[in-house]
Amino acid sequence: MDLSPTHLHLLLNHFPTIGFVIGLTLYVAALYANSDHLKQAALVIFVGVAIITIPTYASGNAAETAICVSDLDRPCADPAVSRPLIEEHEGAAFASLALMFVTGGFAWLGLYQYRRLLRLPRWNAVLILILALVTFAAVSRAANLGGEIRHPEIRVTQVTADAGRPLARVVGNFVRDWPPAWIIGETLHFVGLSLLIGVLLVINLRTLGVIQTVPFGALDRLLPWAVLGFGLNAVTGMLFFAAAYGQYVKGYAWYCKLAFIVIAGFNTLYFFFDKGWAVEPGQPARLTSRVVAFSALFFWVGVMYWGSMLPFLGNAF
Amino acid sequence: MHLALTVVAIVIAVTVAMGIVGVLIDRSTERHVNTPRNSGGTSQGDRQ
Repeated sequence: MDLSPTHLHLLLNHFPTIGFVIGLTLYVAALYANSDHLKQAALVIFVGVAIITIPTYASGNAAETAICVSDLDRPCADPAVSRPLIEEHEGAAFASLALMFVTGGFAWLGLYQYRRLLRLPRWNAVLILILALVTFAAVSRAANLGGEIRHPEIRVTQVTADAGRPLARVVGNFVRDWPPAWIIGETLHFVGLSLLIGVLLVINLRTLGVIQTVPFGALDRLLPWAVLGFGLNAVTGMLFFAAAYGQYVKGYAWYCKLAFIVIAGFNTLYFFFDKGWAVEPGQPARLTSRVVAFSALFFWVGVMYWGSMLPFLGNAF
Repeated sequence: MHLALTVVAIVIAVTVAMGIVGVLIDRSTERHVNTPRNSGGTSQGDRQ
């Protein structure tokens, strides 16, 4: 089977909508039943869906280049395919991706609060509910617009010539055309990278048996910095992508990087449920924890490797 | 020169904003800590 980026997008684009329906239903049920276990399960789903949304969004632009063969800013070669409608879908997807990052971020904070405070503060429980509802509405709109691209029988959206440019093109073209934008983005991308890798390196090396005298409780306090670094990288990375997606989707290094980000993200999520945090100072972590820590290092270093190799592997740049 | 100053100003602004968020998260999750079946830590909170 020849798996193309278009296949990938068709496969992944169900996760944000269906995943969010499941997460939201579970979360509302958890609030109603006041069940901490259900709340944590729903928060994991929110974070997981947010991670999967990154390749979902990125593969969308790859699918665009496959079905709309023409220069950018020109109509598609196939008259049955509407570039304005694709860009409308892209704009809606960009907005839902941004909302997904915010919802996923607060959901992660909720999981962290569960471990640190043993409860989810009311303010965050309410905020997550509101964000999840808004995100679900945005994702549903993006999904509906996406369906209209290839299904004229359900098409109701009319993109008029005088309509403003969709959000993703406004932001992407701004990053592309304003000279400082790329430099600022690159600098912040490295700040985020340093935070993320620095913290995860210390935590995973401790799990593997280095610096055993340092208690896990102390390292646990560093985790939010790693997540802030990841958030900064996710935002700046998607800004680069929106500005020049035509370059990224041509090289296989980009898809490898996305795959490694997803695996590494889920890997990091595992530690919320790992008993390794109960290990006393001076004691080695369990074998399972060490295996996961080793794989975490492998995949995060892999993310850096594929990111560095973007200009050199394939014909991306 | 203008380009360099713009870059530095925005990078510092974003980094400081992120630092404030990080400190707020740390403070808000430090005091009542009952961490990870916690076995010690660096702060008073972590030793509770």
